[in-house]
Amino acid sequence: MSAYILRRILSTVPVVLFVMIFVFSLLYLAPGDPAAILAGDQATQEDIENIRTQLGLDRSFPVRFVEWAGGVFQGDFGTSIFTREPVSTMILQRVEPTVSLMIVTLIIALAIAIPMGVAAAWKRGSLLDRFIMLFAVLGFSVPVFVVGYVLAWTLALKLGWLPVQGYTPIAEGIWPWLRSLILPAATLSGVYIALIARITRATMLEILQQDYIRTARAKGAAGHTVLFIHALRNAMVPIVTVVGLGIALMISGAVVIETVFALPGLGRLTVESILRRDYPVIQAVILVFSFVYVIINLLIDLSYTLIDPRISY
Amino acid sequence: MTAPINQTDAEFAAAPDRPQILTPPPQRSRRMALLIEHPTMWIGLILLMLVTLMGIFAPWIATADPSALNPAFRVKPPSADAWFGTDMLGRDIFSRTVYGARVSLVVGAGVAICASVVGLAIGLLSGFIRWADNIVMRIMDGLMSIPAILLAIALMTLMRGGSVFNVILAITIAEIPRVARLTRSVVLSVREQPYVEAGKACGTSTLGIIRRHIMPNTMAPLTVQATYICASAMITEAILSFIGAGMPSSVPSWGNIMAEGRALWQVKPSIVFFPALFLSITVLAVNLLGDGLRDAVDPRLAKQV
Amino acid sequence: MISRRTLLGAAAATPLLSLPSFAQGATKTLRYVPSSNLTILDPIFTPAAVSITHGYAVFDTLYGMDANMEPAPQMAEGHTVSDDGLTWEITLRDGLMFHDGEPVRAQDCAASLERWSKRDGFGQALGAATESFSAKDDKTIVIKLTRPFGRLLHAIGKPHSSPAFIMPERLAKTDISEQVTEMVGSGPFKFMADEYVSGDRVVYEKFEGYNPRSEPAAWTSGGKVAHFDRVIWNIIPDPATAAAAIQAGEVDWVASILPDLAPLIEMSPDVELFRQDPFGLISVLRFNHLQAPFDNVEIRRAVLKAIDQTPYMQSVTASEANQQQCLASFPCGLPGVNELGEGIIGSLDVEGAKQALKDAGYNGERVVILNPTDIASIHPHGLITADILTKIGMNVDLQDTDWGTVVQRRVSKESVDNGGWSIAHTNWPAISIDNPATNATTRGLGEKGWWGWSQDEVMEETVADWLSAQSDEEAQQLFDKAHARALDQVPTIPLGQTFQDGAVRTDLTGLLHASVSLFWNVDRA
Repeated sequence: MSAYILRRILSTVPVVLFVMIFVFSLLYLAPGDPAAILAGDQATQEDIENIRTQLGLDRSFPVRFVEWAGGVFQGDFGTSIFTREPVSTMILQRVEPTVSLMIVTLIIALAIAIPMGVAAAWKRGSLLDRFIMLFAVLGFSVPVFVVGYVLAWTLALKLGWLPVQGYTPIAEGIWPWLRSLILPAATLSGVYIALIARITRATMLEILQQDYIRTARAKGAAGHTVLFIHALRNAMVPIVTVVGLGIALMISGAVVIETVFALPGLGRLTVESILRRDYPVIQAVILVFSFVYVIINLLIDLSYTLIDPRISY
Repeated sequence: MTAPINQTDAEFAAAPDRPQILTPPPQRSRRMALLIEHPTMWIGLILLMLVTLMGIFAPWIATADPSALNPAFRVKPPSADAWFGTDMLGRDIFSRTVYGARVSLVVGAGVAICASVVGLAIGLLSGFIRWADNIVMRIMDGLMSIPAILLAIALMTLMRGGSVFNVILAITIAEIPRVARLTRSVVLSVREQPYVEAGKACGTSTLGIIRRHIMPNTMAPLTVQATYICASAMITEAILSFIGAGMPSSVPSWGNIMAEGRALWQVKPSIVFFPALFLSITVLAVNLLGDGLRDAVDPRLAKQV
Repeated sequence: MISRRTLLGAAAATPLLSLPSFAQGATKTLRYVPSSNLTILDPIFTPAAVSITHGYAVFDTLYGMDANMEPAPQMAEGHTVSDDGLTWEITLRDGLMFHDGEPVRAQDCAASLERWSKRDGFGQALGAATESFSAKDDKTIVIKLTRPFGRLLHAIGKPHSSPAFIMPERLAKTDISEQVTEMVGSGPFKFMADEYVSGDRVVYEKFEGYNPRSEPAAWTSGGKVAHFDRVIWNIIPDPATAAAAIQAGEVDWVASILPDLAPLIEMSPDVELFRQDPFGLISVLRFNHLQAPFDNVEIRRAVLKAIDQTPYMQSVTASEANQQQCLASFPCGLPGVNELGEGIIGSLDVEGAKQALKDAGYNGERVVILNPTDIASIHPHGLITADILTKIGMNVDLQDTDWGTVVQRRVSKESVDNGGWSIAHTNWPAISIDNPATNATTRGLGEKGWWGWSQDEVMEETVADWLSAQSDEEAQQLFDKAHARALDQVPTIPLGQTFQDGAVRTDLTGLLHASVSLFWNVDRA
């Protein structure tokens, strides 16, 4: 087991290394000059060149890469070209909203999708089943920002139940924090609900087809609930897998949602940084995202042994 | 939202590290029967054909030049002159929406085809050449670990802004790893089958194995995968435009029509509503088609519907 | 129905609103939404409006600008000029203190002026005429000139695009290519560095040690009396979300409202439109003078005659009240600006311009228009220009990219085949280009000047004469001369004047006009 964990952790090293080189060269090659953006409308070429020298942007690719990579291994992500703040500070400031958004989204999605999937599987072929499956396909098909605006318009603006925008840190209280997240999380959870509901239904159907369950069901309704819980437990492996795979999906959605609801999260930070070519920030955020993705997938693989004792490594 | 992972991925390969049960390719007649049994798939197919026809015949359907500027006639509500109203530059939203079908369909189909072809090639390479496998799959893992939308935005800035080709390229790169993984898993499991081993012992060439055993087993899941990639590419294109990294507005796409109208959703919801409706319907059609195909090629799942 | 809804809204918003006061007693907080994110804190380093807004909160200036656009003493007590006009002495008033508790000395001011004179356009003009900025004693700043500079107070009191903000000497010593990141000023508000999250919020607290002047506040002059204990900037990137936030009462003041959303604001109870800057923005079309075809003045003139400002303005705003045709190379409505472009700008129809272009010797050279897709106020200009130029027979290549790429490419002096460009659009706050020296769009500094690099010795001589003009009549005459020259040489084409409205909750009083939002004098009724 521990050998397996070690092997998995080691196997992430080349992945992260690849991401580092890939992202760095991508940004190195990208057009756009942060010095020109910094200097503003009036600047002359001389001003811009002075700023470029000041920031060290005039140096060659290997020099800049080695310096940056060296810093990263010591936990130093560099300084933002624009705000002149340490990148690590900027990222830490932005982690809470994004993580909060993802957790609340996940809770909403699981709370809705699993009962939906189970119900659809139980009443297979019924009107309810068809309705739930249609909803699931719709979840994949409607753009997330459209859902976001519709919800914001009705629940926040017209009814005034929830704030239109912004994020309240959890330190200011659970309720205000939750209120600021309900709308964005509900919007973001649409795709997730669709995804999880479908996988739950499919897996439940497969398990319910199996002989021991069939036998049990044939014998009478007495053990319904128990059987169901048992079946659901067996369905957890694919569900957890989908949740893990979906982390990347959720990050993509978060980028849009954070813009629509003015949440100061990592997704917005990345988009803003890409548009103004704040290289150190983009590099660091993408690296962090990719690291998180790798770690979550590792944890999910490990969680299989907890959910299903038959699996071992 | 962008569905970079999709339904098949999850349902075909629920636990990626465990071997998969492969079904032999179903016979032709049964496949046809299944097609007929799937009304939703037909709905999807018909909707998709309608949208495609709309795209092809856009110049005849549109009531105005989609790029004609008329700032004096800006942000008008739907009327007899402009059926869906006008945008901030006075352009006719109905005509733009009709033309927008082209971009969505070309991007969707383009990404699906490019990602499938390249992903297939990489998957085969990885499945057959052991020393390449490790390197290629680590690179694929690396690409997969970067959120698709961020990767696409970064690639768009690298390519100096929007054109249909650049958008297709940027989204394709983000989608390739999934196809590669799928192909590779098929190759690995087929290679271990006794009849393939036997064939190899009898001197069947690698190409022969690919043609006779791998391709038939890959085509079905790959087609399904490609359909879902098509749907997700359409939505990714819309998101890219929404963020301002997508198609320039001189080329109307549903994404950039919505992007231009999104600031006005409170006062003129029509600007966002119509392209959103068309995009949703089209993506829905492609997804329905994909679901139908999946059930048709995987009777194990189809039985249960 | 409405009252119930409002009530619900208010009740729902309460937990959020009551938080600051719950935490800190009766703190009076102003919640403000700037028009863009604050990334650069140093207001001398960048002329970005949002950084200037921040600058006015934290820093003070020696002179401010009053309602008549005349300089009025702010940190200064007064000034004297030697008879030859070459030595200026400015005395500081009493009771000036920096946020770190140190008194403001003339040395700080001299160092600040020197740094400012290296970056700002007007400042550079002053710098070129200056031998030294120094301090005679802690109270007296001495500016020694090499030639008379009649507009000195206008320069150091300029209200926009890098005003001459005063910083402590240790910060003002920072190289101009480097940003000052420690925010210590002597203005009415302290910058709360701990609470600053770029892209989310910026927090200021009232500086108790600030000693406001006794005159009433007007523009950037007079008493800067802070009525709010805290000013919190809430960065909302999406304009629709910002408009929704002020309607819902989540914020007090939104710096700019998308023009098309203005009717919505007008309809909402408790919110009204507020036009901060009565002079608005001037949109311009900038030629690249180094490359064909626009190195040919006749071709530039032909295009000038084909330009109709109306569609450009309409593409930015629907409302008639928010646009004003301005047939001039300087912003209309400002002192000294006469509308001299009548009969020149947009004087020809399509056929006439076609002919003029042919006569000018246009050979079908490719015209590359750089067009940023992500800047809503500039993006349509590229489309409209492409449309007009195509109609008059030019070979147009409209290149859509993001702003980041545009700002890089527009400083390229290469030919269009090597990544260069022919036309780019931008807009300027009217107040920042209100005279021959500050108007980068008309200056003729060539390759050392603003991108586009128009070279015009006659213009530069006229600007130098204007700067040293001793009387107002002489100055006006030279102003008109510079203006006529700009209309003749067409370094840039003005595309009209548009006005940007913001939105405020109706309970705010005492809002000041200026080119940026000012947080003093404003109070809650």
